[in-house]
Amino acid sequence: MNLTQLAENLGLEIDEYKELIELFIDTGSTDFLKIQDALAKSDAEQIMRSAHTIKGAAGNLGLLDVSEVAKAIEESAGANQLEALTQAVHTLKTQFDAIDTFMHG
Amino acid sequence: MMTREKAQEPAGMSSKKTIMDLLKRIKQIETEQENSQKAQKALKESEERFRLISETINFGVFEIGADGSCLYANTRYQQIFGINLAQSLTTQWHEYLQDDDKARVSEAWRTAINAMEEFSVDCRIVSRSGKQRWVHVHSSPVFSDEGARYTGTVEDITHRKRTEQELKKAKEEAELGSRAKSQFLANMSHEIRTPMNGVIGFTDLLLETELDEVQIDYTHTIKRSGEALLSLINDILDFSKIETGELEFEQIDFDPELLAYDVCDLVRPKIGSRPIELLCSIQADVPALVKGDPLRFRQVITNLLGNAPKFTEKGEIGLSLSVEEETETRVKLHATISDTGIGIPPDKISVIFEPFQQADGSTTRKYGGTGLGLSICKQLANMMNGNAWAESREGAGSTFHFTAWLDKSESEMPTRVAPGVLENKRVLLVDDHAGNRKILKHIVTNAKMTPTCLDNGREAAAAINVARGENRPYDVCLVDLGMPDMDGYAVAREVKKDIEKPPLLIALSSALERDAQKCEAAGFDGFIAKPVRRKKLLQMIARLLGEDPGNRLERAKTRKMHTQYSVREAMKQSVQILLAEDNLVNQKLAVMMLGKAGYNVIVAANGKEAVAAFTENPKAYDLIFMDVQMPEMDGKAATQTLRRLGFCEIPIVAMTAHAMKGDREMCLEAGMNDYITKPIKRETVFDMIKKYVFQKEES
Repeated sequence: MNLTQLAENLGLEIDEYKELIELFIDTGSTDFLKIQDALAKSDAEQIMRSAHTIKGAAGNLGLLDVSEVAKAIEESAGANQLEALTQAVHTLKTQFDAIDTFMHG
Repeated sequence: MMTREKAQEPAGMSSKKTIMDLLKRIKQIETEQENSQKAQKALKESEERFRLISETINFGVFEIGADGSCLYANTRYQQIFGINLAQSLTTQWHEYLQDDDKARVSEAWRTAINAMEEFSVDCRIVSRSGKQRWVHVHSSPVFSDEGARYTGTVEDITHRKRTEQELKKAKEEAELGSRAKSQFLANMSHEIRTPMNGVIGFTDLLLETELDEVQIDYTHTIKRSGEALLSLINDILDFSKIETGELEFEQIDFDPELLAYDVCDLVRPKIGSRPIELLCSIQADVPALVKGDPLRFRQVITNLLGNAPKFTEKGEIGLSLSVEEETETRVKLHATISDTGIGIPPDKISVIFEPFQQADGSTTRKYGGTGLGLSICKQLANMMNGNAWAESREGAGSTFHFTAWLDKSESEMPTRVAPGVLENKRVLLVDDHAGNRKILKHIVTNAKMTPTCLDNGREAAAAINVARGENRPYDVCLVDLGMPDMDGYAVAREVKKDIEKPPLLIALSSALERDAQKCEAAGFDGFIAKPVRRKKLLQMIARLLGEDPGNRLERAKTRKMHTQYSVREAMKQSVQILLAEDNLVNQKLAVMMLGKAGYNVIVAANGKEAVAAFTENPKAYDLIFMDVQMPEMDGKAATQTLRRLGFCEIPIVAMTAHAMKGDREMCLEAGMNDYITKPIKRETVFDMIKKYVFQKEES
């Protein structure tokens, strides 16, 4: 992750961008838990909502990989194809962990 | 007679009487016969006279009975229609009408007869021999004991008509030719303009490359010459458009005040470093919005104001706008442009508005210009039902006047300044220029503030201290940066250093951006470029006064955090944006992004909050960014609610995650002005602000 580049793309200082990423990890984790929970309950509606939130935030922060996966989850949930989601949710989790590791070592 | 009867009396009474009677009778008959012969002769003579006139006159004459049959027609009548006597009595004139005229004229004739009215018409007929003629038929009713008849005349006007048509055709051809010439000129001007823009554009690019001094000098000359040529072409284009009547006038709302200040901004660089004060004063009764053609209105003012620096070496150039006349629906604005320049000789003052005339033949060489500018101004003014004229005293300066009628605007301009915030606030105005002080005083007094004026910087700090001591401290202090005795920076430093709880300090500067950082360092809270825009000034004072002291401190800190954040950027703080967005990350990002650029952002977490925040203080916001998908109330519903509540002016820009085509239509249908797709790009956001906040104010 090239934080300097990502921050510059948004016209922000690197510290400001880091603040946003922290917030994203915070809120994103909550959303991710909601997705896991909803997946267990087969609540496609809730999966869609939470994936949508992650997609939007990640997209705006320039985290395009995350945004893509979240978008795939949102779309699958919209089509009610929940069984196809497990892999994508796993990928999302890996991505979150990677960002977390990157930020906090 | 009696004497003769008396003479015959002696022949015996009875026979005598009989004879007398007989004689009397004979005499009577003779007289009657004589009278009758006389009458007959007179009649014959009259008839002869009538016939002579009727048969020699160059008019066809006809008489029509009550039953519609022709009773009489003269020879000329027969000639015109190419018919004989019998035919003239068995047909009627309108039977010979040419097909194109038949229906219309016959109908008019019938109507006239039925209503017993006079009838008069020019029409075309086809004679029996097939000859086409133009005739003028005139007929009027004659009333007698036997009822109504119609008598009338038919005149052959073919020759006259033909001449008329030829003249008309010749005139049309001449006009067409003239139009074609002007059109050619207009096209030519347009065609020349395109490559000229290329020349100037590439000269600019050339100037950005590495050039030595001589090359720079030559390139600048190319650029200046190019610009001069371009302005000449533009003038000719306008002039030929006026000539061909092709100049169209728009009817749109615009703010005359903003327009005036914009023109000042445009003209200011032309003054350069000369000691000239540029003053702009808008009378309070000038409406916030008028309806007309802002481009043309601006063109006239730009031209007149743009001339002033050419002829002025020092002193003042002033633009003032006032209302001269007013009706229920319209308003006549009067712009006065004055300078303290070389002036215009009295014998030239009337001709300078003529095309290709300048006060001095050498003027063109020295000052440039086509000599078309003022003529265009006058014509534009006339087209706006106003006028343009000038007064001048040679050596003392000139005053140009421009008047125009404009419609009053139906839409109400939202005034962003909360009146309560400014009322009774005490202002100290520090400016060495009397004209400026007058204008500033006028502006703040109209906003119900209480001003005190100072003409020098030295006394400013003392005055602020004295006022504090007397327990009537100043709330705001406006300081001119360029004063001879003590400049504004020094005043600010002194005030901030020596005075506890100093008033808000706003710098007034006629220079450009480079002063801003210096202002910040000197401790100014705000920065306003001269000539001072009334609205901007009041807006800034209101916003600064509205901030609580904590906020002020906070702002001072943030400013220090970002060094590139200049005081001039604080102008942007007068722009407040409402952001409706539920996603926390996006909220924070937007606040950072916009805040960094100097905009104020208020965040609402969903549509409901957005509607509540906006309705609470609609005047505080300049733009709403609205996420489409939100909990509680989505962006579409929130927009519809706001529009339904009558907030139609506030621009709303949708932020949508879907790049689908239908989304755009949905947003616009819901009453949004525009949309951007996520992920949000910085440039797109700023473009929207530019488009809906700044350009709106400028246009």
